[in-house]
Amino acid sequence: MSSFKSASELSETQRKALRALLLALADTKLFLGFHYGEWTFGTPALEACIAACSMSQDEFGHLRLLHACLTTQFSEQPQELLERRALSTFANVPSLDKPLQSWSEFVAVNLLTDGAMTALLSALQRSAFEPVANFVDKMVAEEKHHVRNAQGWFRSLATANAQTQAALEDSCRRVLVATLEWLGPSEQEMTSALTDAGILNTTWSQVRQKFLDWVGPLSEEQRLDIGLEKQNGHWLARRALDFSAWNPMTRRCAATQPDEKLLYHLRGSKNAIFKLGEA
Amino acid sequence: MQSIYEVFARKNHEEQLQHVGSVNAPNDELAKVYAWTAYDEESWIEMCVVPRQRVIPVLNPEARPIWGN
Repeated sequence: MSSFKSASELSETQRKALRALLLALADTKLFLGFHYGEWTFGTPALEACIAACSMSQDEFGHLRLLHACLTTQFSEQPQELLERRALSTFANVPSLDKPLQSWSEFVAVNLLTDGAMTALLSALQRSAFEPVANFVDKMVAEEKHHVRNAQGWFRSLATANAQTQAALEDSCRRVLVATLEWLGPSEQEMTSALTDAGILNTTWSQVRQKFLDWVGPLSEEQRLDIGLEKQNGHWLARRALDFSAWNPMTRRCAATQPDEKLLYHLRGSKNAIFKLGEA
Repeated sequence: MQSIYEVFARKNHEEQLQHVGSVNAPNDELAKVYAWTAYDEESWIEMCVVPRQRVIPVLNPEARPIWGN
């Protein structure tokens, strides 16, 4: 299969699909970085705050790489991607739209939302699109620590006591639905174009299934009901989502968007006068 | 239930493993994450954690090793 050195070698369909996917991944990493950073304080243990801070740095590092790729390959402007976009255009996982209310919600996002991004990054390894293939292995290597942190806390909360177990189960159910909404339907015209071109190393259906087949056994191991069930050897959501109104650009089923106050804080709007050199 | 884990690491194959610090963690899995995130100031080629309670003093069995915390 041929490889692509730049976006100019892609067809219009492939270019549009890859830009949308990278932007959705970047938006999710932007909000993951923000929430992990917010939890530098208030964690149940000192070491957990260091880990949260470290994961935040990883996510912002990945965001810079993705924004650089979108800038050089798709003529996007980083300031536009972050500062001047309408809230309704953000394509992050909806579980990150609002502040994370509890430690169990942090763990659920760390496990499920970040875990789904790792499944996608794995599908971009050895990508035929060279600018992405060049940086994705580094991201996957760093994400291993995120997965380990999430699994460690998932197991700890699941076994500590009935209260932590119930809180974790509740948080995971809600975050799982939001994450599956972002993943979208099994078959998508845009992602199929990427698979056919070798830009994704697998089908989108397999990306979803790989994620579910990783999460399912973890919940089964801890006897937690997070809304999954096993059928014919594979894990599926017990209640299938209705994707009839799903928007492939925002990866949302409804007109939801990030919280305005959260984005104001994240963008540093309060300190806009100190953004030197910006128009 | 938190346990103390001692963290050992080295920067190259010629160097011996050195004690670089310790972390508190409820299990081995989180001890590995915490060691990596707390002591990531160097480009380690090897890092490992050991539960402090599994360390067996040789010279003075009655005394507890002094690890710095």
